[in-house]
Amino acid sequence: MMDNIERNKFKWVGPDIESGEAMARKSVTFGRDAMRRLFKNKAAGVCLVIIVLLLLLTILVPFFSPFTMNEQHLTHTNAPMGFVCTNEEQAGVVHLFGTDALGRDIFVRTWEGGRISLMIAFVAVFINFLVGVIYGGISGYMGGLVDNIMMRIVEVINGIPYLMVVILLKMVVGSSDPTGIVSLIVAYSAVGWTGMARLVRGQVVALKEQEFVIAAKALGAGSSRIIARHLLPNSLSIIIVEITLAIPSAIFTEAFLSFIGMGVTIPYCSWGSLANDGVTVFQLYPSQLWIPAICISLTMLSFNLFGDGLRDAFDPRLRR
Amino acid sequence: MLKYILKRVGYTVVTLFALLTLTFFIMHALPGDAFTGQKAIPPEVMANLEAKYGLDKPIGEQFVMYVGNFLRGDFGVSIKYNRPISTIISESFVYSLDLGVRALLFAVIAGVLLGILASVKRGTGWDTAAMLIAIIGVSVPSFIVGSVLQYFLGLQLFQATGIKFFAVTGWDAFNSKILPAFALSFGSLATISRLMRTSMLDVLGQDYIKTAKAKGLSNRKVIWKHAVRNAIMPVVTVLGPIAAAVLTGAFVVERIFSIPGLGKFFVQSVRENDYTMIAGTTMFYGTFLILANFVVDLAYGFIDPRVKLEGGK
Amino acid sequence: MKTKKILSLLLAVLMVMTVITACSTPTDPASTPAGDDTSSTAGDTSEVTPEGTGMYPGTPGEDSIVINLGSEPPELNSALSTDTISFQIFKHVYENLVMQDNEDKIIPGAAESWEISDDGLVYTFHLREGMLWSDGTTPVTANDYAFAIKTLIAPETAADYAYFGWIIKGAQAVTDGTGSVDDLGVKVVDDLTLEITLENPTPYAIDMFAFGSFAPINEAFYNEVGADKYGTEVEYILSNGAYTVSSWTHEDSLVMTKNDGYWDAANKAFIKEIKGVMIVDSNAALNAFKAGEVDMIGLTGEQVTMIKGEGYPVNQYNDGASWYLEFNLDESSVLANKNIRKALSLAIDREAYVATVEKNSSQPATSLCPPGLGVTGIDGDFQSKVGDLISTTADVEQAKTYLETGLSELGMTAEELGPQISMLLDDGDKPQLIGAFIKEQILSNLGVDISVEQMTFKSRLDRMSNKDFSIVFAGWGPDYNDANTFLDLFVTGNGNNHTSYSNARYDELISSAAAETDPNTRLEYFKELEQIIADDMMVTPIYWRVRDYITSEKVSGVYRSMFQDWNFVNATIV
Repeated sequence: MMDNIERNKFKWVGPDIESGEAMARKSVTFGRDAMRRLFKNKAAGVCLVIIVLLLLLTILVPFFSPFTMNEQHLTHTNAPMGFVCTNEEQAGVVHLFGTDALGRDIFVRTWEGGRISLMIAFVAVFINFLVGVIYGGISGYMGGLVDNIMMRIVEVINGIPYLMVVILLKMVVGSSDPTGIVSLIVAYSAVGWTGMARLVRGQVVALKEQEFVIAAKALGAGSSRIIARHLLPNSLSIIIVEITLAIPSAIFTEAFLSFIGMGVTIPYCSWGSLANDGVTVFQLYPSQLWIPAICISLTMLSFNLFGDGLRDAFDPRLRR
Repeated sequence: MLKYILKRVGYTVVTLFALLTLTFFIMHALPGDAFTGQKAIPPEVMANLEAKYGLDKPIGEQFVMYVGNFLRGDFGVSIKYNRPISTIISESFVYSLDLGVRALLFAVIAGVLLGILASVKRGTGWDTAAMLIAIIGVSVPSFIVGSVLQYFLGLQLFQATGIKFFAVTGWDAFNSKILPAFALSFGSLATISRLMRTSMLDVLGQDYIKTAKAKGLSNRKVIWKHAVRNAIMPVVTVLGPIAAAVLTGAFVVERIFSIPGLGKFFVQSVRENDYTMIAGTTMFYGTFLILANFVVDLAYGFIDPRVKLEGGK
Repeated sequence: MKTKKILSLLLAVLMVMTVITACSTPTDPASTPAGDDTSSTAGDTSEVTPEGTGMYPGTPGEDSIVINLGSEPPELNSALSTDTISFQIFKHVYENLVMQDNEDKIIPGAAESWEISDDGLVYTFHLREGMLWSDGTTPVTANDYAFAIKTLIAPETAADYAYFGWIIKGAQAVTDGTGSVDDLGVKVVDDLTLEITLENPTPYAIDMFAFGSFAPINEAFYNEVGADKYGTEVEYILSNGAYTVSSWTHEDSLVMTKNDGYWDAANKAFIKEIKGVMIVDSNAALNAFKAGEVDMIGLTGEQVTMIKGEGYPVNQYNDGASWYLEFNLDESSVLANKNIRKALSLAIDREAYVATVEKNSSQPATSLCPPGLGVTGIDGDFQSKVGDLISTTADVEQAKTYLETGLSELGMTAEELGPQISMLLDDGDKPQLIGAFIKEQILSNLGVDISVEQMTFKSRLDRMSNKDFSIVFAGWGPDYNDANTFLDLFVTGNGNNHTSYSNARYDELISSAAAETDPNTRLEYFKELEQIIADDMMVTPIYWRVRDYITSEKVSGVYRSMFQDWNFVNATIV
């Protein structure tokens, strides 16, 4: 068979230096590569845009709204979406999302509520992050008895009824926090950090037996250096993903508390409390439920899908 | 192995005792007393009430008494209902368990299928669609999902067709069990399907899958015979905490669909300072949670995918 | 793979159904918006007969109905119960010495007749012959009623409502452990005669004997079952009324069945079986009603608007509750200043409150005692004799005048006053509406920005007993049909008087009224008390509650009133 191929059928073309350069990929750092892959993920990109948009709306709308969140227009309560205000001072101004049972403008309340919901979520998750990383890091790194005790404490904290903590905090913080926002954040953080702590601990336990850590130890690196230079950076991707997923969970917890009547109180509102008000009247005034429900869902979806995108982006196995 | 189990049991006992202690003192710090309702109770009557429930004694003594009773398996009597805590919990747990198992079954089956679909069709529209379905359920608070399902599928469907596909409230005939189980399953469905997707992607990248494909096995066989079997392990491990949360009572779904489950007692006891009930439900949940984690850890030791993998190939 | 097929089938079915429902929406009356609710609520009580509309035929049972109790009765032990649901069930399953008719008037119950001594202290009841307990063999005797009273006040029972028994001579001493049951003014003369001696000539005592706490308890049964179990399960209940409790699934349902052995069984209890379900969620209750799972439910304000929009008749009854703002008059509180209190009271538009917050037939209050409540021995209701003491709309000019006077007395500005006032409310969405409304009224009419705190019921009670509040929104329902049940609240030292209000004249009028036997003189005392409240404003009444409910077309003759939340003893199935 081999004999049949004649030599003159082949031609020497020489090395193609130009296209060789084009085929090779630039050397990229892990972070840059992750970002590149993140932005290639269309869903994650769209979600990031939505998150930024929602944030902008919650920040800006209350400043520019012709209505304040608590002014009541008793002449047109439960007005439909797009109702034109009939008050003397604001005649002709449109209630974009209509008004609620007390004639308050739902548009401005939606974004004021978003402020509170997102603020609770961000602050609570930030605290969770700080406490969880430190606690989980120590527990995982020390190992042995310390680890065991610290993890049992986490189990105990997980078992304590959350509502009890909320009620107790409201009592302790009391009049200095009449709206209950501080106690909500503190209560959520008081139990919420345990998830982060478990995760970080698991990560650290897995990492500290890896060759590069052992190598660093052998070279005489101290604990703090190993934690700061090796363990934390290598856990960062998982931690960031966990954070994006913890934000929706905080918003949900707040909504649940609103449902059982222990959420944010007057004069503030949140998406949770708006949705809870909406649920009681949705058969009559459906938009009062759909609006906060869509806001919550959009936030949830965006953070979840964005978190998924981040996870894929950080996953070294998916590096291409 | 036996030593490990004994050690874990020991830890469990210590953890539960710590939980009991903490809960006991926190609940007695809750504002207000257990008895006062809309109308004030005269001091004479209040004294009699406190004596009846042993609340007139110093808190330390109450604690010792409570732990003593607890060790004897006596959870005490609910201050609100005057019935033994153990009776109340065992009666209502039956409903919560029934609801929870149905929801969990649905969540596991649908979640795993969606996860497989998303991973096999990774990066395509199927992937996005499957994940969207998985997440959309968990994107709406359960009180909205429950109310909306009840209104549209329970009531409106009945009004439109005259046929009762789904009952609006209660927990007896089969048609009353579908909507609540469906509503309750959403949360875990999302977790399971996303975990399944990640795990599948992990497994599909492994060498033995490539080997199987290279040997000429059909795609379907590779996925169902090899990939799914190995990828499902992490899903099993998260079932512990999910089961603890779903099976011990879902306050929102039970309330909306009027199911006499355990969920309400977790909320109501705390709100109404029903001390014995708070301790009872907390210990029940705590035990359930720790046991579930324990079982999962044990299972993990037995069915670690890598162990199995090395043995099999 | 079978499960997968089933699953995909299920999903497909669900999707199809969603499409079907989406299509059906426009033709469905339930989803048609009823327009702006403010126009259709106020005073619209025009009745349409439910028969023939064909909209909500109700549950399928031929001789049974289903009603929504709303929640589980904590226990059915007449000595211990304090909640309205239990008392409603007692009305059906127990025959007290005396009962109430459809107008809350006292009629003979287990006692066919009774005499009251001239000094108003000794009541002698003569029981009917041949009455039996629901076990069909045990006769009902005078001792059953005497034992019930002794159980109610016994210290070991520790009943919240023991003080209802304290109208009887020597009862209070029994409860606090200083007296003996032997000195109690309850004497079983023979099996059919019971003699009760009161501490004071209490004019409304006969009304109280119709109250659930005085339901009979069979001593032998009570001791056999044990005090801790009595009334906690269906097998631990022995009753003697028109109905018996025939099954009780905790937190789910409670079934009452007609008691054929009841002495008046021929003329009462026409409905064989009444099943009470426990739906908490108001949307779920309405959905269940519309789906024919329940025959009677209560309605929220929005639901009233919706049902009226459908053209289905909504029923009302005045439940006798009066809701008011209680002010803290403690020295530490700025509301110790009367002018500030008056300013706050005048700044609130009560008509707007009812129209926007309650959205039903509740009435703006003009005095503390609600309409329908009487004074013993006087015809007609007390409220109409008192007249309107409080304006139902806001009087901003006058409010501002009071505020300025008050502020100069306190030496502060309106901006400084706001943070000093905090209003306590229960948690939940309804209190949130109330709080937002009142806060805004005071802010827009007076420029005072008060703070509102929502907390759990228990936390609120705790704050109130520590005097750590300025305003609290509270309600009171009558225990018996006499104005005294409201007016004695603000006597110095009353456990329900959270205001720290103390007025010698007020106390004197209440004790004079208790000792007075002439109805007209008592009426004058009570009228003066209402005037004192309007002048001193330690509380400011906001509204009198009227409750709305709907029944399916199969139920007729249900009776609801101030003292009987619901009564089916004379109801029938159409």
